[in-house]
Amino acid sequence: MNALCPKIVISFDFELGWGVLDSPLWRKREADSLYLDLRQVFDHLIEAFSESQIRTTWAMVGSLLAKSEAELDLEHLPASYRDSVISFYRESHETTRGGLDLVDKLQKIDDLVEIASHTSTHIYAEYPGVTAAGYVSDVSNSISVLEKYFGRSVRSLVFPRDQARFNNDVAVAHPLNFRLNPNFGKKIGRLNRMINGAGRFYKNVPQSKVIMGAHGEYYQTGSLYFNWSGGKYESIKKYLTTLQSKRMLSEMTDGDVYHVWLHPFNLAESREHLEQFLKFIRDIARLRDDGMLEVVTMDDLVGECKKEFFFNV
Amino acid sequence: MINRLKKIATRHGLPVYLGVPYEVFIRLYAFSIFRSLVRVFISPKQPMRVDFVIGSYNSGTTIIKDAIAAHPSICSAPIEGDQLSGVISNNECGIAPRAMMVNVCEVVKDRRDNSVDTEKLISDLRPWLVKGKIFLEKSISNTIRINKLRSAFPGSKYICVTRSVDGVVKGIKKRSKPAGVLRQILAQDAYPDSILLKQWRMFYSLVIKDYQDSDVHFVSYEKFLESPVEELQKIFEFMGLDEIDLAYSDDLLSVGDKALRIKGREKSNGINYLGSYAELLSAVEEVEPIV
Repeated sequence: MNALCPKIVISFDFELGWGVLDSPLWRKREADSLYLDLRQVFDHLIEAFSESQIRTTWAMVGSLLAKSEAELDLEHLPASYRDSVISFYRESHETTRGGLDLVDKLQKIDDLVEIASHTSTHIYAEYPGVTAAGYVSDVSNSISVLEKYFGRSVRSLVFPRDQARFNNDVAVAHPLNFRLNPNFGKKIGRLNRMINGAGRFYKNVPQSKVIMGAHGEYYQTGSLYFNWSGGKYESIKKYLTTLQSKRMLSEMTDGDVYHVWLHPFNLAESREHLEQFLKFIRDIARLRDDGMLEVVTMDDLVGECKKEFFFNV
Repeated sequence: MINRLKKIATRHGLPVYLGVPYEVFIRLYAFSIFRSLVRVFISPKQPMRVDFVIGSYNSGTTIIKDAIAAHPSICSAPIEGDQLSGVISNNECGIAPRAMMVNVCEVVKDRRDNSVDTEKLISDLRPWLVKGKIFLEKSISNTIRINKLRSAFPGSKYICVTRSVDGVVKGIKKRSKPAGVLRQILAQDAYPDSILLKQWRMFYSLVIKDYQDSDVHFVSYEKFLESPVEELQKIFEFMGLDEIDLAYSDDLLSVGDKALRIKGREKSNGINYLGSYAELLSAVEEVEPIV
């Protein structure tokens, strides 16, 4: 890896219905065949990554690997969230809660994939009643399940809903690479949100910053959320995603790092969305082949920086 | 308020009516737009050589730089060159005053980028350059870029100021706080020791890595406080400067016709001096490696 070559990190929040298990959304998405359609989307993604040899990070909810309810470890969760998990697990379709078939597909490009944690049950830090200890247990469970299944170390973590309130507690137990939302720590009012929104039309996306934490952990901020599906302003969001991804690639200079993140199921929401992402992948592969950029995982990025300071004096 | 203005003026060795406008000028000069305007009125100059004072934050680099700069053959800027020019960065990224190490990738990028726009840097520093004198630049960030400064300024010398890890850590904690997103990440208003220990180790292990006997001279801050005349003589000799009258009494160090107040002699009590490559190497090895 060349430290000066511009870099792109692509990370997926791989969660299926677990991401919204405490809301009615998973039922709607299930009814719309979103999770079922995701299987086909996965084939396209695997094919694209395999052809282009693009490395990606997949932050997985550990419970996607559970073969039965008995395998779920829920003791550490607040009672209401535990109940939601149980009813979600019992009432959802296998394709909404289980990811083993998708993991099989992912393993076809095993050497291009970094497996990261997205907790065990997608518990989020702001959920009422969640304690630091409970949250850390959820992360620990996911790490042990993922490491056992994939036979390798988990070195990165994506906080569910980007809520990083327990970052230091997790870092003490697991000094990993954490992805943060670019707005982490900023108090953004309505006016600022509008100004920021308008800025997206003319400004480049923020570069990813890599910051060392107190316990040996590292933080990487995101740059571009590659999603425009849903909501009132879908066509504007679509235009902006296209505009910003193009601008990001055209304005890259030496030393820049950008972090693109997305949810795979969003790509199942429309064929156009998937096509747009696949085109993005082809574009970065072409630029990579021309020596204009490198595509790395979250772990690659930090590992390279750490190496510089690891020498024996 | 008046005391503060007096303090600013004293820092520049000027009366208040000159010291305050000078401080305003320096602060404005940190902005590239102002720099480009001012440059029109100041002719470019070429210093005889550019030498560097390097070391960790809060290791005593400023006092040692000021003492060296009191020699008549030396000129220097009142603040760090990385604040007066866009050519070199302080790598603090607005979130980590005196703790650049948290921006690991920026530091790595800086080290690996071999180019320094020498002409632009010299041009930016022109208000403080004097033809025929050695320009002494002190920026902590230069500690991580010795090799590329060597290429950019052939023949340059490096005065590496060392200080015990405890003194550095305490000093940074006293004077600086994390800001912005870093403060949110740490969830506290002070730097944890772990980061500052790693940073101390980073600075000095990089110096050890880039060390060359011919152009790096170590000076222990604590030893300098204990015997400033002897230490300054050694530095002047290393830099190839003419001998000059030096004297030290009642916390006042006289360098030719200039005088500097040197306080804090008690800081050197019971400290193992890190005044040589071997002493520094042994101290660095004692600190836990970065993980």
